[in-house]
Amino acid sequence: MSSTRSTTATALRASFALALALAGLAAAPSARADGEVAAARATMQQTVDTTLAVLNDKSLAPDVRRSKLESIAVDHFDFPLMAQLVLGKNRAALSTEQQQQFLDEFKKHLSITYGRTFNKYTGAEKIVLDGGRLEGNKDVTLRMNISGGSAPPDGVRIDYRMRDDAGKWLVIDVIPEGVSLIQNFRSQVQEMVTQKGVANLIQTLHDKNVSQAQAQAPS
Amino acid sequence: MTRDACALALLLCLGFAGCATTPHDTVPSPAPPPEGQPLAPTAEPDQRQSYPKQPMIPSAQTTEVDDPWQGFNRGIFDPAHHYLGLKRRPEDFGQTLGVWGVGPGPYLSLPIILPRTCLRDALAYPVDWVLNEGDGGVWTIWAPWYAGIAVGSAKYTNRRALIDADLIAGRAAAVDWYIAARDAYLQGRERDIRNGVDTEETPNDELYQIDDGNGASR
Repeated sequence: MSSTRSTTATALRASFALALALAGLAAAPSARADGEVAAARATMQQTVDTTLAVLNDKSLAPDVRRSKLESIAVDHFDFPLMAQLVLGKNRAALSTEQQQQFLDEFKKHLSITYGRTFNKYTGAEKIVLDGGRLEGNKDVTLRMNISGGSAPPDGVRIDYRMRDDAGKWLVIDVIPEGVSLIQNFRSQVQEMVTQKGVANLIQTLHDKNVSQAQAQAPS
Repeated sequence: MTRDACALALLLCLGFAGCATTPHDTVPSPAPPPEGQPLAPTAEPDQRQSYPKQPMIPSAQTTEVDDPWQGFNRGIFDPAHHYLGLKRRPEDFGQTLGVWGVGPGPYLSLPIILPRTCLRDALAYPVDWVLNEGDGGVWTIWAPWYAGIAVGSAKYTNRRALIDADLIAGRAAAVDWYIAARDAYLQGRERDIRNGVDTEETPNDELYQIDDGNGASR
């Protein structure tokens, strides 16, 4: 009788231990996901704080401010990867030199075009990082809501897709209101390469950058 | 009798036209910043949790109705918003067709009805025209037909003027404006059909794989 009770107790303890182990196994990926999301969030929060510090520093000359913002972008955006993603399967049609040219022009284009949006900053904007999600391929998507100031009355939502590059989380896509920058540029590149060729794509991008830089230059 | 029943049904339709309709509307819009107070540039998140099913509300064209009786122009009252905090969200027939699996179809660039420019939305447009009183629809039963056209024209002119700066910025940012506008429109419509909620299919992980052009990706 005593032996039976002892066996039952042992079986119960074993079952309990097994259940705990299984629960631990189930919780481990979730904890890891939380850790990755938290790391990406911390990077993004730091980027936002640094950017706002530059924007709020009224003592900076416009060109100094622009240069500081550009260096923040270079530090936190994975431009080479973004250029590769935009090219997609068309990358094979470009020589190494053309790929480098495209990367340079693409980076300049983003810098000029989207740097201009900072001119709208009034200081009254409220920026909130709302959440994060671990994607199937281990990327992390963070959601930012901007309200007040120059934002539309209902605010604007921007998702940032980030990828871990040797321990450093870098932005690989910007998705304002559900419209992916990478997807949008890829569509344009695909169409241009198909219809007009690679050289024309790079030349168009170059011409666009020159004309925009001239338009922005202080008269 | 039939006429009375129709009139009653029409009144009820008009009365409840402003009511929020879907269970997705659970996230209130960000509170406006208090006037005269300096704002913290950043704020701590309310919670550190994933949002795979977090409902988001598309911001464009949303109308705030704070008083249940204020929504007279778009429904006599709006108790769902006032008492339950549910937010009004514009829907159109193109979204309804999209939810039921109708694809966007060819992209059409029409000069007057600018935003509704894929085949599905263009076909759905007449339905919205008739049903949306703001476009000169139902109420034109009691008004001359051209009054609806006048209201609709004014509305689209206003909308076009409001987005003018965005269009200029978009043209500057795009390598090919037509393709950029088309892609942004189609992506935006997909988001509207999902009601802004990300699903397991979105965003598309394949977009973020590097394609070496030989069919292999990493």
